[in-house]
Amino acid sequence: MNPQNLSHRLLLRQSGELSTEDSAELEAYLQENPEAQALDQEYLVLQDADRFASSELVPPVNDITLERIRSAAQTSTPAPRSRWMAIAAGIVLLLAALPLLIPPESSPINVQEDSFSSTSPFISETEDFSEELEDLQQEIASWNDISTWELLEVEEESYLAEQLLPPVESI
Amino acid sequence: MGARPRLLCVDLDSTFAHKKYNNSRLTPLGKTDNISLMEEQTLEDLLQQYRKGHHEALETIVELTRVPLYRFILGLVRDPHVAEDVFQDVWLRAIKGLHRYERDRLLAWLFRIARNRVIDLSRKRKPDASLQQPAGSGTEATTLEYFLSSSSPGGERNTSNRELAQRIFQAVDRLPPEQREVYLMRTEAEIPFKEIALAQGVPLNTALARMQYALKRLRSELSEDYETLLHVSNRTP
Repeated sequence: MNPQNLSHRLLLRQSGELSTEDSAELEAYLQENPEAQALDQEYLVLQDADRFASSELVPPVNDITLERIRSAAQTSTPAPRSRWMAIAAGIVLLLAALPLLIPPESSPINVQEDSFSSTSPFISETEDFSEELEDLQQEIASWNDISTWELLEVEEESYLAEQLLPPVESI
Repeated sequence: MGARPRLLCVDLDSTFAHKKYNNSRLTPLGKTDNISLMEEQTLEDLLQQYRKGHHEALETIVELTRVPLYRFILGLVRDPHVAEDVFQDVWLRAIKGLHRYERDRLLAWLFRIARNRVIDLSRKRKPDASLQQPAGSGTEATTLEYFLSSSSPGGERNTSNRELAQRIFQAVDRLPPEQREVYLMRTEAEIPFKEIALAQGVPLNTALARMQYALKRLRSELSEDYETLLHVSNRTP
């Protein structure tokens, strides 16, 4: 057994993760090797060291911290109840949302309404509207003899004339 | 700060009073099982009580898990003030997430929350950070100064204990972060190596090697104290 293999097996045995067969094999090896026994002991002592130091030095929980935890615990609903509440709430929401999720099928009444609407005076109303629209377009076109760009140019020229040419009185 | 409850008073003439190994498992003095296993059942029972609406049960759970959880966090962040904040945060998150907790080892579950929280904190401070760069801004000196400045509760009798404890903390603090994490997961919560390997995202052999190197380094760092440690841990070949 090489040193690394021995170390790993010792650690696994100490953590309870070594198989029964390997444990027996390791036990036999330890019986024959005092150095390996010393290493086993050393590992245990060095792991105890931190627990000892913690028991000496770790301070008690701060009162404020404890109060916050206590307060959180009191406002929190115990787990199993909250889980079932969440499931129940989910089902209720799903049932409520069901009509919105499934699109309604078109009923015979709708079909009749559609067919009825095709013979209604709606078409004539549309025709009236398009006539009015055409009139408006013609009116706008008559006012559009000067294009927008032309209007802008004229405005700009007048402005330059005002700025650059002296007033008529001064000539 | 309230009175500090202790499982047993430790002194150098006694043993590691609150736990010692027996058949490769930790055993508290005068009890039959190790502290984690002994209290794991108690913790589960208390948790059941809390779930039934006995809120005071949680306070007992917090107290029972205080030392290992705080120590683990402190080992990662190395700043007592940050450790306290993280400790509180871990509990607040644990309370919120108790419905997700399946019957497991409570302490291991709390350690996982703590570990994730410390990584989150590190990333907030430095986006590419991991446990390699602890969340706490402190150094080992900060940790030690803090503990040195706190008064010794037991007076003269405990002074040597505290000094030894400080040297141990100092040595553990000097371990590389990934080794320190494995060491603390093992020593404080007895998390199995397979779980540690999963948590660190490394093969089992890497986790074992990290522990092996950590112990080797501690053996060297604490060489002058080793006889005392041997004596107080009451380990006999």
